[in-house]
Amino acid sequence: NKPTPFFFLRRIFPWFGLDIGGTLVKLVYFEPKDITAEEEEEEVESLKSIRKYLTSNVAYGSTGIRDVHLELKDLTLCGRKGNLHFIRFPTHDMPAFIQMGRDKNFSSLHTVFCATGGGAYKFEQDFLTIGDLQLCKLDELDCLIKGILYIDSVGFNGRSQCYYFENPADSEKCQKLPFDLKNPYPLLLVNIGSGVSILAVYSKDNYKRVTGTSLGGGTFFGLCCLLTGCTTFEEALEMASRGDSTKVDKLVRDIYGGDYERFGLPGWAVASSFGNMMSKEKREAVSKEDLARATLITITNNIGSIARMCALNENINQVVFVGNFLRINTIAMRLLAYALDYWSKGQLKALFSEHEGYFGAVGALLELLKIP
Amino acid sequence: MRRLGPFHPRVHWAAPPSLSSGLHRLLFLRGTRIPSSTTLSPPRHDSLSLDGGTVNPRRVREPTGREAFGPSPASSDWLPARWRNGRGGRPRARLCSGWTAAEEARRSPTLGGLLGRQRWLLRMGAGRLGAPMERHGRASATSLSSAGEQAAGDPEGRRQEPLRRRASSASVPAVGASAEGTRRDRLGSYSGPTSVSRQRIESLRKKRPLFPWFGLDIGGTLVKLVYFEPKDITAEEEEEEVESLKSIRKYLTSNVAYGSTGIRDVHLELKDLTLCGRKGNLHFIRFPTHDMPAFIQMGRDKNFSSLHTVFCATGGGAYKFEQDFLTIGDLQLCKLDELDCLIKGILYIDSVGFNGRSQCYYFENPADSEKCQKLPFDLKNPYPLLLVNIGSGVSILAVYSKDNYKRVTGTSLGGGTFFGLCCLLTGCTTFEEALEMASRGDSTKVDKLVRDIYGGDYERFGLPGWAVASSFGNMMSKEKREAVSKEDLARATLITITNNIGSIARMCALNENINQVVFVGNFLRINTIAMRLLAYALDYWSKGQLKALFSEHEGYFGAVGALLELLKIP
Repeated sequence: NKPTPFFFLRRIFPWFGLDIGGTLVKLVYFEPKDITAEEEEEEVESLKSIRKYLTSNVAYGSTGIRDVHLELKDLTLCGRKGNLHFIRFPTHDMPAFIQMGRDKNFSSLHTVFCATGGGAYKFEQDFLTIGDLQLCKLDELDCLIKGILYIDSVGFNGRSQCYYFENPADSEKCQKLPFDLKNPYPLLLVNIGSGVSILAVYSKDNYKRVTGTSLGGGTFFGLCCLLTGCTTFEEALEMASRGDSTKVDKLVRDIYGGDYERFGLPGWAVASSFGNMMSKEKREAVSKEDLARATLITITNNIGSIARMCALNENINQVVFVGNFLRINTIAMRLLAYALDYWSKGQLKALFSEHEGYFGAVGALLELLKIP
Repeated sequence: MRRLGPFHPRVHWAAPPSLSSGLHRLLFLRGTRIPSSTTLSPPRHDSLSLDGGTVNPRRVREPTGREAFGPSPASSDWLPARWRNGRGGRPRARLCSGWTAAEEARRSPTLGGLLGRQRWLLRMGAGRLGAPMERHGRASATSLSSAGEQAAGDPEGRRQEPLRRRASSASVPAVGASAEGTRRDRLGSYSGPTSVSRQRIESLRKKRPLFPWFGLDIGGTLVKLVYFEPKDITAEEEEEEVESLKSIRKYLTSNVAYGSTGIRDVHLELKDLTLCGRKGNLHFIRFPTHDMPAFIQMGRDKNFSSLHTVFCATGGGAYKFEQDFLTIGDLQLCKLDELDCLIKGILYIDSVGFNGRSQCYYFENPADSEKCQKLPFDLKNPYPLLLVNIGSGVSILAVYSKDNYKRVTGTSLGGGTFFGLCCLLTGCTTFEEALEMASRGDSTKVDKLVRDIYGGDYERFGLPGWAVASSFGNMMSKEKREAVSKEDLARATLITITNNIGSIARMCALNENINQVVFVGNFLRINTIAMRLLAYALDYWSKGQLKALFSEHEGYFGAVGALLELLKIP
């Protein structure tokens, strides 16, 4: 069967997948490594310069970053061999990105831009009018599922994509161990971006959005900025790592003097997040680090609790947490692992994934290539 | 029986110092309604239930604790763990579990019995004047001859006492049986023990504890106190009334503020309530838990302990402050579970109504400031019910019947979070101030909405553009931070906490298959914004399947439940 012209059109380089989220834009770029001399000769100049620009830098402008440690090498996609690169920059800089596309004449490449996330809808017009680029809009959750299943199948440069924590509460004994997601279904997928979506996945093509919560990564970051004066996500996490949330939160033992045994609430459980902050003396006794920590704990625990309820109600016992809230956020991951295990009495398992926040973009790339 | 000499007002029935404060109390297992899911203490025999919670006196007299229930199922730490004062544990039987001292005397042959008798004597005034008191009273045919079997007496009978008769002396208590017997024999005369007043006999026979009647709920942020003010006090009773009791009554009912932080919610007063055969008003008082030490100190200064009244208390503070009450205030708390009391309280209050009006209400058109109406709701089919108690933290209960409920889940993002965050973000110092600021703010400047991300609705999953995608999500941007006011931040905090609670409640209702959700707790006090938001959100996201209900006495149900326990009202 002769492939249709449309088929060829989509397969023209560059191959991008774009996920324009509430806070971050995630871009995956496939760098072909099997370009023949002939192909290279034919290559349009702008395409070559894009390739060189993206692969020879790890930072772009003042806010773009390529996560080199996540690069998938020697990947075969649609019969082509190459590396998959993972790049992110703040959605706030989207106008600059579109402008760059205009300046570098992306539109002359006549490539299809597959984009997902809310921004694919929000910026569609800007892409068209300013950048002369037609976006192919895709649903973010469809792409998420597609992306995670694909990435899990190809593994991570020979290692496992999926992992879990053993002894999450014990700083010394805590281990990150690979998890073989061989029986992925059913799965509860908790995507923690600016906000949170929780999906129950029954099969490759069958999933539903169970619920969501607006208390997500954006809440953590926003509140931290307000409470501590920090300006970057990394700074917020770094402060949180040095704080003590128990000075900020009101624990069960602060109210009961010990455990609330009747309903199985241990004294160390948080009864009221930030509950101590209504007292002037206690406010004066806490540091910014304590506040950052309390914010992190509060948001994380809330997500874990909601996820646990969903898992219970959907009768699913494996819960995968993804999204850029968990990027470099071992505290949150270990807390989710511990809390899920504790409150479910070992029934639920919290799983994580190396490529956390990029699954949507990968899914968009797969759509571009019409990879089912 | 050994008659104790003149009593120092401070001597009372508590255990001598060599005994731990727990040991003199009879221990029994209340029937718990849910299997304990704790991993903290050894497995309990929760299937052991005493008549679904009512006390069977015969059972209680048996040895309890380890002996009654066989070998300890788990660690050897079990027994000391059970006695852990102020550290939680099951609700324990109280020596005076609302029983009158006479009953205790009869039914508690142990140390508790001795102490109970001492206490009873003291109450009878034997100690105060150093001699048996002579009381007067006329037997009223209706009340005395027939009232023996009834727990709740006939108030009218007691009022008809124009004539007074001199009671003959008697030295020994054992009031109940003999007094009844005596009165039945001689209808028109009264020759019971001189040291006993007719009113007190009535009280004892009708199994009423002595005044004052308090219910206390010591929460994480606020202490809720309900006080029953009897309005049917006879001249005789008033004459007999101990001075400290009278002064308590006057102090509480003639003030609306106490100290600098205590407040009586006068608008919530329940008038002409009949409780245990007494008619009176029920008062609702609150003060910050932070001032608990001052309250206990006041109890000490005003010599509450001399009243020998039972203090029924619930909430975490009943456990946390138990020792302080004992050592500083010389008061023995009867500790009750907060959720048991909550359920008891809300069912009772709903049944008596609110001075003729409905206790329960809902909002029609909650999102429309002009059309929004607060309308009464007849909770005639209360079960099943989802009860969302929003205090410092949140507990969510599924209530299937009066005695059958379970705690579904909870969240630590409650009223305390709202208040604490507001204090940090806006510099406010009171709850009222935080709400006032919130009423003037615009949370959409602070939150990242769906339309901020999508440019409109996220239609695929039915998320409208105005829905919040990320609470405080705009605050990572410096320009946006500089553009918001404290009022906006207060509003966003309120919206965030409220929406989160509503969302969790909705999930629980869905999963428990319950369609009426009652929100209570002091987070909702004067908080119409939150109530309307809950009403709207529940209706919207459930597509009209769920109904949000509210209650006038919001945060006081636990305290009411504690009072009902005191009075042994089922």
